[in-house]
Amino acid sequence: MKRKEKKQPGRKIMLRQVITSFMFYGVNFIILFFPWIVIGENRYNLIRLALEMRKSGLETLIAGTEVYAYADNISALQAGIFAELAVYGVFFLLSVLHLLSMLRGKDGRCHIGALAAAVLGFYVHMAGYTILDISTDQDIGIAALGMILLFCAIEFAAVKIMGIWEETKQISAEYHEKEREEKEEKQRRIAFAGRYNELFYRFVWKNFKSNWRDYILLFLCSSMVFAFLIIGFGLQKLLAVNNRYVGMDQVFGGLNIILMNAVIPVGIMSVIITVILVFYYLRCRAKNYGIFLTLGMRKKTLWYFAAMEFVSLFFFTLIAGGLAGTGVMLLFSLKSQTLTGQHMEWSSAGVSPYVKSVLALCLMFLVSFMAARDIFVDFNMGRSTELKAVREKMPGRWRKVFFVLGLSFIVYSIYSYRQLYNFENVKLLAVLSVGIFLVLRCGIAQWFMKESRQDSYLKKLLIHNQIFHKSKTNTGYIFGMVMIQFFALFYFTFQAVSVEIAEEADTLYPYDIVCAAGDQDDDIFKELREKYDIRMQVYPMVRITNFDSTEKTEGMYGDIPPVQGQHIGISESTYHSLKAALDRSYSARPLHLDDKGERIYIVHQQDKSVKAQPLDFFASRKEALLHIGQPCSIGVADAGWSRRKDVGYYFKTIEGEEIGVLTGAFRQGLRDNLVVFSDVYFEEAREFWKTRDIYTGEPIPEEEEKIEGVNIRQGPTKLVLISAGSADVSAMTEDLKEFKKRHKEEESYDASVSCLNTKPQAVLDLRTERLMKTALNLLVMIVSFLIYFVFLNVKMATEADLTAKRTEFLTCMGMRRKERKALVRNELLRYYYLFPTGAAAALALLFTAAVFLARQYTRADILHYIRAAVPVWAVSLLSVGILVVIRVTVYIRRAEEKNV
Amino acid sequence: MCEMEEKRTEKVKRKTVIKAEGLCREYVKISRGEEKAGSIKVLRGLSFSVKEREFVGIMGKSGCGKTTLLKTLGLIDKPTKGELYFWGKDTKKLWDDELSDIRRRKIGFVFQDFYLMDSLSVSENIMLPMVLDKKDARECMEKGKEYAEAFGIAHLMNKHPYELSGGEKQRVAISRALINQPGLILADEPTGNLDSKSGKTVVDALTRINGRMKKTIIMVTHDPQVASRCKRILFLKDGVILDDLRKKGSTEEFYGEILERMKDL
Repeated sequence: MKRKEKKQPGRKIMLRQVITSFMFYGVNFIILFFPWIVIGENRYNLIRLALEMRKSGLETLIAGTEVYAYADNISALQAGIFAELAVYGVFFLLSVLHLLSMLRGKDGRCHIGALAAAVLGFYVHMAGYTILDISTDQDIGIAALGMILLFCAIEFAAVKIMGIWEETKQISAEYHEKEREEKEEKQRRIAFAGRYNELFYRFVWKNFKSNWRDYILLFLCSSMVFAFLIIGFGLQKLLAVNNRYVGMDQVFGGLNIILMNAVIPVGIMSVIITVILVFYYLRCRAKNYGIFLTLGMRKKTLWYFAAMEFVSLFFFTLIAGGLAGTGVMLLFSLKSQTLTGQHMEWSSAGVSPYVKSVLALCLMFLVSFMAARDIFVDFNMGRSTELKAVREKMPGRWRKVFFVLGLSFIVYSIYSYRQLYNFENVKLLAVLSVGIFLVLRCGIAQWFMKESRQDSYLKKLLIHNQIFHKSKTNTGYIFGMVMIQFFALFYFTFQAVSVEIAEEADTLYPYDIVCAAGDQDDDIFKELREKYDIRMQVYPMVRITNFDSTEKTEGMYGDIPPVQGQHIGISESTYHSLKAALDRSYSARPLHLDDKGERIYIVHQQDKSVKAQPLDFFASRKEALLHIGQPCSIGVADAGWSRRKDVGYYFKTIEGEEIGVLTGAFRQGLRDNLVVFSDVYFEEAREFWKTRDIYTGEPIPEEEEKIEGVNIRQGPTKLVLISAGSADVSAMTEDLKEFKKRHKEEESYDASVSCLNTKPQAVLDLRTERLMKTALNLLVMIVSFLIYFVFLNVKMATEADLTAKRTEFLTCMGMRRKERKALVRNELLRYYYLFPTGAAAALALLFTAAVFLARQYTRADILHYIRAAVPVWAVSLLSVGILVVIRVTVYIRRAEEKNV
Repeated sequence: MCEMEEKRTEKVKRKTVIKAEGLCREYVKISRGEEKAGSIKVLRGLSFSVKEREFVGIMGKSGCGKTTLLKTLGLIDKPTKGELYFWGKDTKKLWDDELSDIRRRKIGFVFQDFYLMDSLSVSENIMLPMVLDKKDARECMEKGKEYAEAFGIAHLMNKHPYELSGGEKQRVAISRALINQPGLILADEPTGNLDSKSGKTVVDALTRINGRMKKTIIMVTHDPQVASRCKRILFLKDGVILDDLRKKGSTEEFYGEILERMKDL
């Protein structure tokens, strides 16, 4: 009976399938026999066409019509048409077979063949040498065959769907049945539905309120971080939109990077604080979460309320941090005219800073939760232990190895930081931070382990016990404090103070106008010389391109080549002349350059406040990959092969280099540096353009293939240096408009490499940049110290209860008040102020010395720097010290008051 | 004769609350996030059963697995091997939510360090399991009051746990354990943190719960005096049951027997 019931719908479906097949194939047969082939005045269907072609031949058939195609190859056309007819013949046969098999109630597969034949037929028809080429009306033919194909496809799909329809229905029914059963089982096995009473919500709220202080602390810190994120991303966006280096954000430099350098380290420190706080907060909550679960609250419910806590925290953070960040940015926007010389509207930054900040905040919370993952495993169920009071494990037996490893990281980072070609890379500071962490974590552990085996152990038990007991957390605090103060004392101080010792504008721009000109510009300069009272020096030059002017590593590009930099290539004689022009006491010394041009000398044209950087960032950075001429299209892979294959870019050995100015620090070492060749090679380099493809840089072997202006082009050949009165400069700039126009194409690759540089504009830019650099870095330095202070406060606030308990314990043990106070004071000041500050100051001194070397500071520069930096250090350390002492005193007094 | 028959009939009728067969609990050694070879075997194949209205004590030296056993029986920990049946149900086959339901409705917990929430008042702590069971608020309050009166803590209802003495805290914990009228009370050294007077009050309360309220109690204890109030003692050593001692005579006699057996531990 059951089988019969199942069979009945099957028959129905079969019947539907048969009807569908007959319907669609019936239409197909009609189309097939419809006379859709139009040749001149006559219309044919496929059979009639085949018969006519057999009877009178193709040529007769198309005679008198406007079909001329393939007249020269009529036999091929005939073969193509017969092939098409054959395909549709097969299609017809398969269609008939399919219908017959359907009538017999069999699940035939002939319609797959028919569909394939329809696809093939349509493809053949469109391919050429077919009926299409003899048709006067091609559209009707395409439409007819297209419809056959379409109906075949619909029939195929419809029949298949009907076939599986029953099965699908059955699966769906089974699924629903299973779902219903599961639901019923759930209702049977799991207790209670309905809502919690009002007491439950009161309890949850009270439980949440019990950690209210920690929640507020966490909220304030995360809001501060979010505000920082908005300021950081906001400034980046705002300056990218408004500053002159539009589209150059791949290249470091400019106001953009000054801001980012300042905001990023502070942001990272804030993130560390927040991660520690989230971790701490979760540990505090674990006990209560555990009670709820032990007493039978479902994990799902607990997760819901725990999630609610953090979601609400997240939203409060978004609101408070968002308002604070936006407020600062609006203030910046208001004062931007004074600060940067141009007005920047905050609205021009759009919503992207907010989106990025929210994503970064999400990531930060995610990291915190991952760090606290152990807490979520069982929520401390069945244990009433306060997780915040549990002893933290010391590093294991590998601590000595890790300690040495950490030390090596520190030494390596300092050593590498002093190399010019490492461009004061921030990654080295990341290596340093890893090194410091390992040294602190393993060093402190080793120290305590050693101490615990000595007789003096008991004497120091009280003062060291807290660090020993919570070694992980306290090392984290000390590490954070060292890093924050290190950044304040070294990184930001150097950025700010180096501006003080940087050269004056007159030294940085010795000439009023600097042009990279060609031979065709002689008339313009002749006119200038006649019109104005100026001093003009002209030197031969070639344009030099370096392959990679970005700090990104090679693997980052993929197929996209990096942004290339452009510089000025000169001969050794020109170098000496330029030196002599600025310094009359200069006496030429040989640069030891070779005639083959493999060795070069570089003059990095930048001031002392700009970080040391190599000419080219590709591969090892100890050698520069250079091309004579303007940038060519060359990928990273080809550049990598440049030692074995002539791609127009060659690795040059840097024989010597100096940081200084000979023509003008217009691009502060990013562009327009001087690359000096030997005189012999320079002459060869001047002819280089004649043999090289301007687009690929590869040699053009045949002489007749070289067409000037098409695949070879001479770039700038003359370095024109003009000294004039300030009034004449603006007038001359007007006169040089034609010159600018002529060299427009040369500037198309990189607008910042200009053929015309003027001193007044450069001085204006420099003033803005320096003002920003000093103001911002000093501000961030102060903020760093404030963050350190916040860090200390977070530590004290989170340990206030424990300190009060300890004070009570020590009182009971008979320790005098004075001794108790001294104990807490010594512990806090010694390990959370003096030690981190001392370590940070020592590291800051080492890194400052490394930068002196990297930037090639003279003895006078170093003394100048120290004179400027010492007051900054002294004032900041002293003020922080006073603040810390006051705060610690208040903290101790409160702990004592609780004890009373 | 007739009385004995009655007792026997009653014994036969009593249902099994807990049945353990080859119960094992292991903890994997973890060092710096990586599992070390081997594991710590805390419970090594325990087999026993506890019937309704029994008052079972678990004794043994520190680290022998008493608390682990209690947490496993309380469905807080899951056994790594062996079977554990709770009212005839195989706990392995129970869903997480079902385990929560059982903990909430059928088991009452009393811990050595009370396990009370400092953020809630005494009355709220007592009511908590009922509130978590979505009972009517008025009913929760009435029951809370009833149990508080029964254990002599009605005058402390508005105080917070940190304002109470150890004995008072434990009585709050006992009231909380009973409020949902569970059939099984699990007590982990309930007198461990108490002075002798408070300890006696708590043990008296537990005896009353077992006798008058007819609840099954499984209690971990170190104290032979406290243990002598039980009807049966399981002696644990290195994760296995060393002895299963049943009370036959008076409490004093049983106390003597316990002291004797404790020498073997």
